[in-house]
Amino acid sequence: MPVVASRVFDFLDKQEAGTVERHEIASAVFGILRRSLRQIVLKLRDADEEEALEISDRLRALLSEWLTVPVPFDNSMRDAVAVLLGEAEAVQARWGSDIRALYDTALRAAEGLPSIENPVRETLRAVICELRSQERTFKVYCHRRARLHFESLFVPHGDSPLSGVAFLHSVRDYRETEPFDALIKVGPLRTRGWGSAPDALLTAPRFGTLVQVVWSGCSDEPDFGYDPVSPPVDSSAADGTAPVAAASAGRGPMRWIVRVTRSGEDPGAFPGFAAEADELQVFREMNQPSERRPATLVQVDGEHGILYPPHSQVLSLDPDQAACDPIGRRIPGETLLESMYVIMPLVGDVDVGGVRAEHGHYSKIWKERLEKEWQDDAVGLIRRLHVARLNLVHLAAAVRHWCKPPSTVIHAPQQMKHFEILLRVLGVGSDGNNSPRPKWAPLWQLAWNEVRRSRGEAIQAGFHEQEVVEEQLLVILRRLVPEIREKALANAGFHQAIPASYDMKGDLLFFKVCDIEEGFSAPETELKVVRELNMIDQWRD
Amino acid sequence: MNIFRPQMRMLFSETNQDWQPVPSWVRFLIRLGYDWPNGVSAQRRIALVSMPCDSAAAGLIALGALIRDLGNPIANDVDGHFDALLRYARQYLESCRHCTVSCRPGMGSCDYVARATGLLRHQGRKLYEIFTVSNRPDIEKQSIGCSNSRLKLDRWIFRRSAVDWKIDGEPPPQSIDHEGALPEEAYVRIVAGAQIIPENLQRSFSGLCLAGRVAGGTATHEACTLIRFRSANGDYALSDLLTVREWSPSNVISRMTFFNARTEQFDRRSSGSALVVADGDGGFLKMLGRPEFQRSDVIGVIHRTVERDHLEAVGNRMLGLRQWYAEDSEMLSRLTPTPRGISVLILKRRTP
Repeated sequence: MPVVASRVFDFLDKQEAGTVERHEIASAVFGILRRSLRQIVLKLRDADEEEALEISDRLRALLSEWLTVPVPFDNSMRDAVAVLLGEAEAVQARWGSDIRALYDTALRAAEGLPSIENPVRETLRAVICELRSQERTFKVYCHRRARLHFESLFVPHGDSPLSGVAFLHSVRDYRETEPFDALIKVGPLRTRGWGSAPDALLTAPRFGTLVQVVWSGCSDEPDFGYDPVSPPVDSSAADGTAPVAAASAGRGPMRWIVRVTRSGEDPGAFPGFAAEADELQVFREMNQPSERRPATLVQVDGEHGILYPPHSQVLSLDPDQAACDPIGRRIPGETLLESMYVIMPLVGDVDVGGVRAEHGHYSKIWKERLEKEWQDDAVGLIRRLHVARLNLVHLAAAVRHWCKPPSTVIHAPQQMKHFEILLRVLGVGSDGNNSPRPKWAPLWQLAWNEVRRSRGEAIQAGFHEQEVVEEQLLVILRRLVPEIREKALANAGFHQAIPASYDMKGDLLFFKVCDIEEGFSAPETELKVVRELNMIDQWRD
Repeated sequence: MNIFRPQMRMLFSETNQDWQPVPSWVRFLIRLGYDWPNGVSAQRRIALVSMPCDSAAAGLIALGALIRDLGNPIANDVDGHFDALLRYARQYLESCRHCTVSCRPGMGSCDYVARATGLLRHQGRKLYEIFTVSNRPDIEKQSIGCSNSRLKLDRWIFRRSAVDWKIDGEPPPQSIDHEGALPEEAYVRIVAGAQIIPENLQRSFSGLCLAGRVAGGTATHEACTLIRFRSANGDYALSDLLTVREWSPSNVISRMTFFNARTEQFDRRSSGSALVVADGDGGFLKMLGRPEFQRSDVIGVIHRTVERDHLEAVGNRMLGLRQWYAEDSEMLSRLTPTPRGISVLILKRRTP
């Protein structure tokens, strides 16, 4: 429910100008980690090799998260880097000594981090304690998955935890909130990607003070605070040297006074250390190839989501009993909203031999074999996979991931050639110990179809135009509404088989919408399929 | 200038909150609509009003423009009513009666904005089907023949008697026996000093258009229902004061057309609006692209608590317009003081 307009205007009338309290924090150790990872990302980006690009993207996502989320400094940071890049010798053999040296430096810095408290967390704790002591109302703007890192701020310290209402995760949350005193935001003001926030923070404030905690070098986007009526005025807030600087900036129809407080060890003050660069800006420029399309994420559970191009008309279900048109095409974020269901039709599948695999039918076979092989001889399995040229550097972590039972999707290699190698090495399909299947179709192919199907990829026996299929589906779906609504009462994703009485054959997957987020830029192949969120993160702008 | 008479103070309430004097942001928006230049001007204007929150701002601007039109002697549908009936009859007889195509006017299947069913209603009661149109050159003797039995010609409609007839499903050009006349005191108290022509309170007008949100017509309606005005003589919901035909069964006459931006349908046929007030970024962009409004002034109302892509879509459109339009600084200067949080851009076409 949007806030009463008069209340917003009353609030704005009383505000001569808003205040931005910007805390810029520097850390020598974290700075070394940042710089090393940034350089690895850039160097791997230049490598003419698919896996290097993938690792580069994953490292970019990792560092972007650390720069925009108050993560605790612990061993998980080192582990995350090590899992991605693997053994140092292997890194050197593959990409040379300069990346090896950067990797070693990054690991050493990451190992040193757990000995200190993340200064961003310290600052946040101090800010929140001060706001509480002044009895000022405040909220935190952050990504939904960053919330736990804010909630853990006070866990070992005995202060009362942050309440649920203190968090804003989307422009809709923000739009519907009553005016309050202060908003806390970690990371620079960006419109898209990691740490993004709505322009309305500056152009339509519901608060008097914006407390911004950022790592040094991370700059706000110059055009953040965009109003189509009055384009933003570029303004530099601080003079760059004073510990506290103040400036007045006009952004859109509002006025802001910016106060900058710098703390920590400025890496630029140490011999041999350059001042921090703005990784988020560097990554953004790097991540702008023309073959990518802007996309909106529709999150369908805690681990999975689907990217859609802007203004996509998504076949969907509104489970609300009062909805007059429960089945229809809706635009994510506009008419497709949280708690509705995305419908993915899997119709006219290539049914090589008449046996239609259920969700997880073939996966049971190969996952059982994989699990057993992993338990019996993990090292031997990894070696055999390497020999077979399944050359993922973080192969061990990947295999553990593939062992997981199917959830929203069937966890499996992303590429078909990797999947084929995996099943060949496992010997699945070659020992005659499998369920009935067409003799002319290899089991790995059926299993791969099953994996793709679980991701919502259309596997169709011709070049069916998806929209034409959906037109026919709309008719069928509308007849099935009572049955579908009953299944939706369970409040989770579900399947619906198309009844045999219809000409069209296939399955309908219903994914419950948990969250909708803009600000992605992804290749065509990554759109309209279910992907794991940690994979999707690499497509943030 | 204080536009409300202190001795006849109007009160205001939003979302069932306590009654209060009409706030400055509401007065500003109504005044913007009221002061908008009357009639089709030589140089088209396009305005963008940017709000800090979701609101019924488009409805308030439209209300101001409606009050302005109540004082305009030519702002009525009576004068051109017979010609409108003739156009409708010809469309029916020449096209729609024989058409076998699934009817999607405005979507490229034909050049009409709406289907003509050929039904006319006499004095709000009896229904007739159009039978023929006489094509005599003498304007006074032109007529529409119609029937209520489908078998024979029963009635002829002439120019002098046309006001007794209306297209079925659309508002009458003027009320019959003062039924459904608009409450003058509400409008004159909302804009103090507003000159209202009494006849206009009983006459429909289609020269003003309110375009709803892309989320659907009910979204705009609901937002306008939450705004209420109170005078000594009664309470008035903004949604009722706007007289959008489909919003209230009690609306006999209607002083503005409504465009549903989701379905892209008008609530009635009109030969073009002088001013369109569009609610929301999606509705605004759609209106700018509609051929029916290529000569109309357009006021788009957006709020800034939306995703960046939506803001940029509007910003880029305005930027594109600047090739042909220049800022109307004169009109902008007349708008001050703009309440904090609202920003306004008015562009005026460089050449007529």
